Amino acid sequence: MKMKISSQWIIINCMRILFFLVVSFLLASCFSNNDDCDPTYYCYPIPYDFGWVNVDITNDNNDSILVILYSGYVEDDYVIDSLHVTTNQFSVQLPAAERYAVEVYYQNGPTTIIALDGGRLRQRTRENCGETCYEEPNLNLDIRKL
Amino acid sequence: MKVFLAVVLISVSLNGLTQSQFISTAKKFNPATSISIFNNTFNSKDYYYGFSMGIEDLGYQWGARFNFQFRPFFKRTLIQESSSIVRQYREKKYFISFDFDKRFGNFDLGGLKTQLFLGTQLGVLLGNYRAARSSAEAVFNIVPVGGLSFNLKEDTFLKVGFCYLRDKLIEVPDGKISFNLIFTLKEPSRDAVEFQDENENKQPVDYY
Repeated sequence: MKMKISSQWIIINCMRILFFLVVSFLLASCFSNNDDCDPTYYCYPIPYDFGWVNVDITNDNNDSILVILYSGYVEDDYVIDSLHVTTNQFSVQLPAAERYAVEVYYQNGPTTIIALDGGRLRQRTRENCGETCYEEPNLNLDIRKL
Repeated sequence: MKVFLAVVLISVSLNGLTQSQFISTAKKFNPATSISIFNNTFNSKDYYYGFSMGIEDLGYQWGARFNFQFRPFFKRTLIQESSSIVRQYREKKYFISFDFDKRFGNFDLGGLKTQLFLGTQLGVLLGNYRAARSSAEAVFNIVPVGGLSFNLKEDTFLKVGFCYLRDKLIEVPDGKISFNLIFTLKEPSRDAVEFQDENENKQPVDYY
């Protein structure tokens, strides 16, 4: 009798966990659009060589703020460009599939805030009607001052 | 912080007295596997989600779990580098800890069986940054935590409390709210089964 209840209890709990996993998997697959076929979608079939690094900074007074653009990680110290920006947002076109880091220097009284963000400029694709379509690479960086 | 620790120590020292007043049933070691897949720690500036697994002693009413929590997004954080330089990163955090807590007291709160709980999380807070090879400084933490435990069923506890998790971030206060839903996987006890069977097998007595 004891053994029967034990195995029943184990089965019920395993079923619960399995049910949770199955529901999660089904929900995830509902939001996947790999099998979409939209004949009106403009499919660009060639990989992009360049993409856009879009940078958001805080510069409400249109001051001249120092921005340093690195290739790779910031510690690699491979500076692509160093510029002074007077807007809240700017974009730079750079080779795709590479990693970039951007450093912004904010002056806050006697304190300097060095803000950093970066990532890989990924080439994204999607399948449409059995064809691989390439989307223009975009890397959005949020380097607004806290 | 000192006041909080003092309250914790006083509460723990009065723990035995409190239990003897409210619980008259004989206690025994009654461990059950406990799982939490909804372990949240947050305040207005930060959020950690996590899960944990361990044991919950339903007899003496304590629990011990291995816990893993993480910030599920890159957050802008500020770190004081020197007196004149502050670094701002996009950061993810991970907290690996061993949690221990003790429930005590019994009272009804809106018809819900409620207890107080006190505990601690011993662990290390790690982190990594976007665009940098370096990682965040590992912060060893002994996190005091305390609050209310709502016993939703015999085997489910919703623990809502306050904890003090140091993260060395300028913009994030160390005081955080803890919101943890714990399930215990407990087999029905042998006594209960036997008692149930006896009732089922009882035949009505015909006195006439």
